[in-house]
Amino acid sequence: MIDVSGLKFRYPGSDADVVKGIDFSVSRGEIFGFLGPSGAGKSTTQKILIKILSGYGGSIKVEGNELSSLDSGYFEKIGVAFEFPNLYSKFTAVENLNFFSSLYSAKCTDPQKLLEMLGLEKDGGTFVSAYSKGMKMRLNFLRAIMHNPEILFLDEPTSGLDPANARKMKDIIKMKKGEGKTIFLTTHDMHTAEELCDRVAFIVDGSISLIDSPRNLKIKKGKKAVKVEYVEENILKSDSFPLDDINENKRFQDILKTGSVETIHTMESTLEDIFIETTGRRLL
Amino acid sequence: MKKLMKFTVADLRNIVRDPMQTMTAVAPLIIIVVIRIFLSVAREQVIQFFDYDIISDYPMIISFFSLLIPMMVGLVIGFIILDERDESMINYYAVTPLTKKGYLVFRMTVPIVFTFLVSVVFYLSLYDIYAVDLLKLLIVSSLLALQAPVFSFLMASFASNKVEGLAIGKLLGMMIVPPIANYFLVSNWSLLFFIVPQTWVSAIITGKNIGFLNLPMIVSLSLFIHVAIIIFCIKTFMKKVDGS
Repeated sequence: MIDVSGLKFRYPGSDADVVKGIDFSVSRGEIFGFLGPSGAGKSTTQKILIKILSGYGGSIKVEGNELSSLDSGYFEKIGVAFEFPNLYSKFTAVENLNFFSSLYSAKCTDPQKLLEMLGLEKDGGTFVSAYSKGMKMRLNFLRAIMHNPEILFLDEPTSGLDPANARKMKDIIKMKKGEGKTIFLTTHDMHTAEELCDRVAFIVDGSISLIDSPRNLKIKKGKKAVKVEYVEENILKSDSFPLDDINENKRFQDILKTGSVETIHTMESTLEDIFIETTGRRLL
Repeated sequence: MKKLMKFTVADLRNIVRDPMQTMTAVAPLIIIVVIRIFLSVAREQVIQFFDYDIISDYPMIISFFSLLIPMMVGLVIGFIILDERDESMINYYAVTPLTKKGYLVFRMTVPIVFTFLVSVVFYLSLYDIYAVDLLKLLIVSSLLALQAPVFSFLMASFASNKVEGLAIGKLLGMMIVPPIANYFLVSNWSLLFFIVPQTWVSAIITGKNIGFLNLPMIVSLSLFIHVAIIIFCIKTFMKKVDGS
């Protein structure tokens, strides 16, 4: 769906590239996560992909066509939710959705049905100026999907949401993937990336240092062991055991037999651990 | 056309929900009422106290008031653009089928069309006081219409908020000084006033310092000045948007 090779970008007046020759591809129906700290070049890359920035080096092909040659028809196929919601504050939620839907030639989803998807159905007539940040984020996301786009660009979509609404939004994103939509997710929230993304790319200082699925990364980079917490003589203790010969590990078997086990966890790394290990930077 | 209508309805919604913008938007219509009252009262008073009949100055006075129409319309749209700039709406339009270019076209079209219509109504409503001929009416209304986006984009470029926007609006109001000066000064230096678009409107109505040009030259030169200033204003605005 999207093939990027040797992508470079330099802001006018700057003497250094912000994006330094990156390569990646995103398949149809894939959720691709772009992870990196602030200033890493992930927002710049997204801005290039949604044609806000032009004059890039290298190649970006969308369904086989060079991005720079695509006309405004491209915008009928993409949906964008920016990190900071940009909505008309003097309009109600329904008025916002109705107005923006008039910009598309495709038939858009009924605003009321959209609002119901993220629990805003009772607030459709409320002015956006009276919305909380979380409500604006939800409306911002709904606007991005209202015209049923083929590619979704989501920048920190769950930022500022309470857990219940973040859950609903993640379910919608998964549903969109199920419908065959391609989703490009920019985030520094590794939990969201870990849960949603089929593959993630780590970007630091304009370069991609690694691309793989979160599961593969966790297995490859993690420690193949289990950590057991158990109570012995009224004291909480913990021990770890390698997975390779765990069925023959006498000490592990003994602990299981005592029935004093409190927790057992595999010791795979978190995405954040892997990010720090790979790039030497934190996801801030 | 459908999109233009949607934009116009959205603009009206924005305007009626903000008292300051509502007041500014209805100002051109108030001007029509005020000028009728002003001219009848002022004429009598000036005759009584100065023994001078201002009837010969009616074209200058009327053209002066007409210059306020694009200013008011331009400021109202300027307030909307200011809000849109602050909310990063322009970046959002850039990723819709409308595109950033389409947004700019709409933002120019709405004040141009509205100012043209109000200007025609303005001159026709004063027809019994000052009978402007049809060709002049069309030229002057077109030039006035082109002045509205100048105010919109200049205000949206240089103001950080609505209070600053109002202050800049007042500053831009100084653009009506050159046409008045041109009316009273008879000097070759007065040609310098024609760099300011407003001077053309006033001069076409009053005929001051413009008699040596024929109509096609007047139309070409005035259009050139107006379009050049609009291009400057849009470029200034885009720099501000792209840099923010």
